[in-house]
Amino acid sequence: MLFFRSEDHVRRWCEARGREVGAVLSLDQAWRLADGWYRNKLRADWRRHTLEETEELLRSIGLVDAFWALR
Amino acid sequence: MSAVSEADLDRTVRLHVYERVVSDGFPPTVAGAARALGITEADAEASYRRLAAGKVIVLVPGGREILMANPFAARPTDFLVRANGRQWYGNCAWDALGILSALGADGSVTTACADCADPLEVTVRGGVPQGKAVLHIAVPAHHWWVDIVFT
Repeated sequence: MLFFRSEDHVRRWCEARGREVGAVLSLDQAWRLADGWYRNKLRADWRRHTLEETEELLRSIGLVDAFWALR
Repeated sequence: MSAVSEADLDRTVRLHVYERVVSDGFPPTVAGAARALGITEADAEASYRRLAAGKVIVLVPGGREILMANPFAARPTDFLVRANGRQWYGNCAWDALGILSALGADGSVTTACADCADPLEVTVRGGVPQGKAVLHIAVPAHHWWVDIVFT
């Protein structure tokens, strides 16, 4: 999972490697994903996310197409 | 050692690992964790292996030391995170942002565009990210679910 200057740079990087473009997240989406995923990581009562919780997190960020399907 | 006491030990070890990462920048070695917690290296190593099996941490392939205490990396990477006058390294773009979230701190991620290598800096202030950057995920979620969904 890498940072790029823009979606054009993502496309160029993928083309140079013969790879299809995966998912491109805006910085806001990436932050919301990271925040939802790791916000409680340092807490004593941290526990893993359930499948359902992860699906809800992805939905809340608008990550709902087939790329983000977990099952 | 009973299953219950193993669970208690693993919780203690997990909290110690993350306390050390936050304070030192990198996770403790097996020997360091054993000394700090007053347990044997064998018990510390066994706990690391159980935490790795549970995908809480990732060990160096073929070794016993920590490679990743997600979202923190155990060695320098291209994702430098600064906050509260300290610095850490993220395992990837997602994890670098995750460090700032886990810390609950304003801070920055210093990295570079993976395509052109131009420097990139992302800041987070008051829970709001700023910077001219996007994030690319190459592999569909159902392929990485097994590996990282529980991190």
